[in-house]
Amino acid sequence: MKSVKNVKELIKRVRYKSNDEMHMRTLHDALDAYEKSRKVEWESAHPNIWSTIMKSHIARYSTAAVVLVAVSFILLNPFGALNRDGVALADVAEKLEKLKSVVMRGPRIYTSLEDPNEVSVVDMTKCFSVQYGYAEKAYEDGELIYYWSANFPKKQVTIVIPYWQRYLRFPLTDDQFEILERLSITTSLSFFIESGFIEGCKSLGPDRIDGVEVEGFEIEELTLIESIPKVLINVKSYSGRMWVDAEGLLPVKTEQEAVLDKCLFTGFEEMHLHETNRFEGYDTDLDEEIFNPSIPDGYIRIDFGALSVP
Amino acid sequence: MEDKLLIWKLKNGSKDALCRVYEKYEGKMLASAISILNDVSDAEDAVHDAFLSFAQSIDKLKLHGNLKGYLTTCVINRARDKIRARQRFRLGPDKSNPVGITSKQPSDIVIHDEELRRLSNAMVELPYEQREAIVTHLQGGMTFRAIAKLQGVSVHTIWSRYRYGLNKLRSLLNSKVVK
Repeated sequence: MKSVKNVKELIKRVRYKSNDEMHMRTLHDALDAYEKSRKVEWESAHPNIWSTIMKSHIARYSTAAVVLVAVSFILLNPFGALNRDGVALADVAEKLEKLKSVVMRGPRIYTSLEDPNEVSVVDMTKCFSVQYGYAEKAYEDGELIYYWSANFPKKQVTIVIPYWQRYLRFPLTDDQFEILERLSITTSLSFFIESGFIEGCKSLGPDRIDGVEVEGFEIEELTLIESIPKVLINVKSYSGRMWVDAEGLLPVKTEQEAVLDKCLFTGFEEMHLHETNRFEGYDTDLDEEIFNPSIPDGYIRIDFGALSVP
Repeated sequence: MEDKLLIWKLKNGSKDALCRVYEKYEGKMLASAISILNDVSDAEDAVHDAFLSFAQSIDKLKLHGNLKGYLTTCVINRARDKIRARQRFRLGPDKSNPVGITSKQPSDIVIHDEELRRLSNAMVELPYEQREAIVTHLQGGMTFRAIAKLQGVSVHTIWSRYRYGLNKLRSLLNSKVVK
């Protein structure tokens, strides 16, 4: 005699399997439909962004700056990680998704491959705010070399170079803004999660940083920037490591290394780039001014005509 | 949480994620469709169409509940269309060739479990609404509130359909009528 509970259990455990032919047909048709829909979606949403941008003389230069933003996010923005056994990637992802702001600091070291003695060490401070955008400051030997920001609400980029007493301020086109958004916190996160599942991802195991129990991960692929023209950024090899607080499930430290071929980003030199970031603040209140810096008196606007993109 | 990641990956163009979703939920989707339709060929078609539609619309997908519930709902919608089509055909001018629940029955699939075969035959005895409430809740894992919202009826109605259906199912399975 069956009880209602027995019936419920029976219904819950019902499973059928299609015959192999139907199974393969459904899967094949679904993959085909998925691929076609992806193509249509991409083409309609991105009607050849790069060609559109490069048609405009001015936009070309602003693109270069946007690419710098992109590179900063990709190379330096350490969102996400994986581990199927210890620190769960999904849990880290969930925590990161809820963050409103992040502050990180660390040195970025450029080494010329042609002349290994040519080394430049820049101390970076990076702020990301879901509300206001992205801002970066670079110091060399304690001196402020440059700072720049991408202000999301205003869709505007500001670059200030105290060394030259020059500045650049320009609006982002919708296309450029879209690229920025795509390369911002959410997409970077998705990218790292995606990367987290690639075969090459390694667990570095447990460790301790400043007394905090952490777990490390490493990825060696940077597929997200494949669509960016190599003239702008040309990454020959890349590896990224991240250590996540085993209890708090937020990143504590990241380290990135890349070998860059000749491209705009490196001033057309082959270069090794190494960067370490320490996370100094999550969800701290960030002043809007950081993302909308004022231009000091006497600074001259950079003349676009003085720059060129080969 | 794996489903959230699968959706993320799907939105980023991962075919592997699509395969994984299919492998993971094919059995459940088919079980839901068979429970509703009691016809394997129609059920397989419903799953095929539902999954195709899912694959095509991933970019627009905004998942509020769970993926299993979403896919079950898609399959049930397709199954409902098939039932309507059967009814239309039966009421059509050519009554000499009615199409009922023919072709393959679930028993055609290799189901060794006699209990499952009896369950499948009992399910078809239930009024459609009761069947749908049971399948969506127990196989799709959806809450009564979510089902009610989806179908535009009150939670109480869904709960009643579910309860009456389950009791009837129990009676049917305990009787010797259902073979």
